[in-house]
Amino acid sequence: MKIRSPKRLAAKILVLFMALSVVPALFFGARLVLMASSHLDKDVNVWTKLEPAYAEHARTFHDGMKERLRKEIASFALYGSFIAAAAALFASGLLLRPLRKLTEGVRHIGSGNLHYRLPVQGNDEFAALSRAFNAMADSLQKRNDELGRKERYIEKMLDPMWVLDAGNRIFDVNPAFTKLFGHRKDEVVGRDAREFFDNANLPVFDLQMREKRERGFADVYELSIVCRRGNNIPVLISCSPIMENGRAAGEIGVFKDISMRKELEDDIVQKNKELYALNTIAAITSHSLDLIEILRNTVKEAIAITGMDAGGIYIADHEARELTCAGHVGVPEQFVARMQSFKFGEDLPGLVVITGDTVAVSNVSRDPRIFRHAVQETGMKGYLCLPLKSKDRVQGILCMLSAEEHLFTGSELEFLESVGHIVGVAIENIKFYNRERSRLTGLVDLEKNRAEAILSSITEGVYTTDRDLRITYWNRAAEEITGFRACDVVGRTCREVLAHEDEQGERLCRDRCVMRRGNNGGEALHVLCPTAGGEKLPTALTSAPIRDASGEETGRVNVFRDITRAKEIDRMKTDFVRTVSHELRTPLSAIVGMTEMLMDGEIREDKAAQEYLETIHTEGQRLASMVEELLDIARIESGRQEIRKQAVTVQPVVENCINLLKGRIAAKNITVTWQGPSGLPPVSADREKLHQVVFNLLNNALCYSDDGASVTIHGARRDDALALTFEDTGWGIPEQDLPHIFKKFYRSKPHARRVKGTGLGLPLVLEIVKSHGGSIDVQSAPAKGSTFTVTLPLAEDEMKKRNNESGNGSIGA
Amino acid sequence: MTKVLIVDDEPFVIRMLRDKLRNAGISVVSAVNGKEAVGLAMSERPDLIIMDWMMPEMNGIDACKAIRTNPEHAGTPIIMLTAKGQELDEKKGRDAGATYYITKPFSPRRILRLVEECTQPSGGGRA
Repeated sequence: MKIRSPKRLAAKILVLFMALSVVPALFFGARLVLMASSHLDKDVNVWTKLEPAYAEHARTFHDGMKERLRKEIASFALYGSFIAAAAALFASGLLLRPLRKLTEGVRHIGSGNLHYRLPVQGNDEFAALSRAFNAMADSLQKRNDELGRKERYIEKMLDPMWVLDAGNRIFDVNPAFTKLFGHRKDEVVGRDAREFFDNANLPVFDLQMREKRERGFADVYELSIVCRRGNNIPVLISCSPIMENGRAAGEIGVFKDISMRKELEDDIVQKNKELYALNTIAAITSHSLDLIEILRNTVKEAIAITGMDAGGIYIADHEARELTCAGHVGVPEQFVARMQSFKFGEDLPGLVVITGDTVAVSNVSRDPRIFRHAVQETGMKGYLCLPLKSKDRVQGILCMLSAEEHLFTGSELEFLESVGHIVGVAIENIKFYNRERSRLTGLVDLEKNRAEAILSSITEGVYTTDRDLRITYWNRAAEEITGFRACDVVGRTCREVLAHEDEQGERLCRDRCVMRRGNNGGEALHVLCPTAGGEKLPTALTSAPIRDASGEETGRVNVFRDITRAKEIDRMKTDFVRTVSHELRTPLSAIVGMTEMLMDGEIREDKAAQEYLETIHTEGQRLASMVEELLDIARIESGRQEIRKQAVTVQPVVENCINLLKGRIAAKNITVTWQGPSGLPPVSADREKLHQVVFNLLNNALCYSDDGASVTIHGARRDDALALTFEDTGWGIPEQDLPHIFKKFYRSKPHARRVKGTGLGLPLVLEIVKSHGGSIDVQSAPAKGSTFTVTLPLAEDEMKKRNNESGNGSIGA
Repeated sequence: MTKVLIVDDEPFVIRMLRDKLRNAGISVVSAVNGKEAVGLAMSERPDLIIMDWMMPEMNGIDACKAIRTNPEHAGTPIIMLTAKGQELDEKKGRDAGATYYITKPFSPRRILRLVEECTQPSGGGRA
């Protein structure tokens, strides 16, 4: 609807009114004048006709009348128009006044004067309009008051707030926002909210915006806002999207300043870190006795916790009055050598070790106390010298450096001093420990070496095992017996290495483990022990527990001995006893049986009785010689062999033996020949023993040969000795038996089946020859015969030697 | 007349037993090894055999076994007279067929008594 201006309306009304009032007045006035003029003209005419004198006069009068009438009409028209105009003006004024009032009211309301009200008069349309206007003004004022209150809340709000539009541009902020962040409202409105986050926070903000706004729910998140001064303030943002028609049209964000909380949190984190570092250092110092390790770790921890860049730790030698670097981290290479050691009093560490007070310098280059020091040349700024104090003295110095200025806080220094104390005490403890240890180690090493010497010198195999039966020690004899090297078996379980079997070949490990049985280790167990060569060696094993101070078994010590030889000897002895007893029984039969017969008077003829007695005598002698031989063996075994050396000519001895064995030679039809030059020099020997040698060798040649064989005995001088050779064409000795024939009790099996013997003949010969300083050698081939060569020293050489000795002795005397 | 075969490589053992048995009126034949003994056992048909163990050529054990294979000698008493005195030896001897096992040294008196016991018609069984 087109609204007409009330003024123009009033002007139109005025023109209309004037047209309606003045135009008819002028029309009727003009008509009246015309009518009067015509009437007057007629009158003149009449008067002219009737009285011409008069006519003139009448004419003049009438003309004056007409003139006055025109003037009267003209003034009437003029006054009428004026009045009409005045009336029209008045009427339009009456019409425009309420409009003006309304206009004024609207202007008041528009200018914010919501208290303005229109006067209400009468009951006309204007009154109604005024009432409606006033109602509107009331409602507006109410809303306005409400808005004002809300505005005041926002103004008074302590928490900063911003309102963002859909494009994340700032629409509004409150004074608290300005107060906290420094940004004035006029500076920020219209700017992108993203400008107020740094690179670290921006992605978080973007993510929040995207996610939360799309889904349309409020959330709280933590960010930092960049302030006007450029610093970040950590805040908690509660953001609520402003939803319009189901879409987010913007967002209201209310901030909570959490920098205090952050600071507290950081403080707590720092304290925690410090406590953790202290704990770590305490743990290192209490669990390790390696000084260098402790110190290095301490430096590392201290640097990490204080955020400094380099550090070194010094140990104080109070006798040499010197500090020596025990470890460093992060110190530039070119300064390491220069900072290796300080005399007491030299440089800052040298001073601190004397004063015992911590020196913390935030910037070395600006501190007057520090000059000409290596630290300055490193370009480092922050510098700390911390004494590591034990109860009564400074044990060392912890130096720390930082590339940037470092402000040491009270709590940091407190923490570092705690570290200093812990490490100081640790250093003292370790020094004490090391002193004691080196003293004890000396003693222990001595004991250990002694034990080692004993264990490696004994012939028994000794090995120790731990709780899990792992081999922890393996002595040299064990290596020799089994062939397993210590380096190959230590660390392995004895089950792997030594799968012991009992003598029946059954496995002893597991249930019947030697170690698990018999804790006292008394009686030796006979077990088969595997060797590197894959054999199974008979061994005697004893096992005893190793107990710790509380009596708990921590392992076992096992001793074993190769009993192959012992078993062999045992077997040989049994065989010997059997042989001897068998050999003894036969001559005893003659003695016992024949004497019984004689006593019973069974033998009546003298000749027969004589023969009986001879047999008894012969067999008795046989017994006696056997006993003699046994005694010889006993003597040989015990090493007591009496030898009465003299110059002995060999030939008579040989002939005597041939004569003694005449019976056997004849019985077997064996040809025995002596081949020796007549002038053989005598040997230096015990005649009895030489006789035994010759007799045994000849007897063997006879015994181990078939009937009709031949035996040749050669005698020849060989350098300074005499060689006696016994060559037979007998059975010979099997190759495998040859190395053993001089062993006591050893008998070649095929020979033992066919010939009675003690197994002592050749060992006896060997012992005798050796005791004479001679030697014996054998060559043999089965079915071809054997050759035994005995070499004995000559009597003249012996005499000469003896003479020389005594001659020299006399000269010397 | 009772006939006894004595087998031993020691001449004095044969001499001693022969004298003892002959004095008691027992006839005696002798052998010095197992081989000879087996032959004589066949030809002489002795009523009893006294056998040594350790002998050349053929030992007493083998000789015993050989003699026992002859059905004629299945029941003939054999006294094994040996220097081998171990329990195991005695079992070996009895397994080979010996009726008695006597270790040396021995009493000729006892041998005679044993021979008489074995050869008398009433007591002539195995012990």
